[in-house]
Amino acid sequence: MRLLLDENAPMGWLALLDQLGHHVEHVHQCGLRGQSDNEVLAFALAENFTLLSLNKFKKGPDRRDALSAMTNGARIVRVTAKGLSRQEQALERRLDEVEDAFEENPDLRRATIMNDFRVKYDTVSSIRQMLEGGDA
Amino acid sequence: MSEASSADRSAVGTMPARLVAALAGASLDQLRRWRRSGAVRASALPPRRGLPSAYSWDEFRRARLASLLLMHGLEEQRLRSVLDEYCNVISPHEELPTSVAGQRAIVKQADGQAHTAERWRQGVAFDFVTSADLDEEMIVSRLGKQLPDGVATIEVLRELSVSWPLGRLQEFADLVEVRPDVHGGAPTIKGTRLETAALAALHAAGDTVAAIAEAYQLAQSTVERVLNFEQKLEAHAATAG
Repeated sequence: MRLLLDENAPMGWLALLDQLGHHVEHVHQCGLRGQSDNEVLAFALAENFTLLSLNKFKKGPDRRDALSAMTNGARIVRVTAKGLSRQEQALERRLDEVEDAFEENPDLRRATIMNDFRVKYDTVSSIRQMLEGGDA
Repeated sequence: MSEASSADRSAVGTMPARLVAALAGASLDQLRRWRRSGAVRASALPPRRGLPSAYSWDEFRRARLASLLLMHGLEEQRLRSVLDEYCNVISPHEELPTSVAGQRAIVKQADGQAHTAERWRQGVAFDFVTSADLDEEMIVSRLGKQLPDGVATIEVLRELSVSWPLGRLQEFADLVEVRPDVHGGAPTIKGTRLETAALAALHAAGDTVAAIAEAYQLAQSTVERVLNFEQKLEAHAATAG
């Protein structure tokens, strides 16, 4: 999978994901340090990257810019496992499966690898619903 | 205001109530009360079952203003109307702070467009009344509008300006920033997209300061200060305003 690491992700993931056989770049390497959500998402979409991030720390609403980008085709993998080593395990155990799922189903836009290593997928229609404020 | 610019504004920032309360200098109860009275609206997304309210960047600024106005003695029942006056005066469609003989002044933004990301990044939006010498007459003439009546207007605007947007946590302004276009307004380490909450979550999960510093190639002292910021943020959100 072509993965773009957001700045919330530890730098060590570069080597880890490379070892796991993925093509991976960090936003620092792409001149996107400190850039806006829209710029990062647009870059990921244009360059055919899946954005990999840790961006759900507190119960709260999904971020509108990210939701909009996903309805336009952007793909995001979130890791919500807790702690550095568990996050790495989450990637080792589940990323291949996420890649397969994305390849098989073009409607999938987001995969969330949770603390128990289960993966939750969101489709483009469920994301549209979130944007419109309906229950997803 | 056109529909397009209204949509642009609502798309900027999706801030949870706890963050808004903590930075604005209000308690969650106060924020709830302001919402019930219509003084501040939670409007970033329509409410969804099981999710707390979210605030747009504009509403976050209203909450900060509300807190400052009450601190300067405004009675709560007048809050809504006075806030409307203030927000009319300092609409985000108006810029720019320019240096006029060493003073900061307000200049209306010529094209009427919303701020670009670059302008937000420069933190210019509310940087306009930092000079102690700047008088009301000058602001009014630059703005082309009357300032709201009564409640320590210049002081309130100046306070809003110098402590924007971190409010009571302004002491961390050299390290932390809040930008509506980065992670929807979540606090980040300045100049990066690294959320302070990301580091706090790791620490809460048992990772040491040293391990976190190594993982993100940060100095341990930086990680410690970020954790201190997050602690204060949580404490502010939890205490009565």
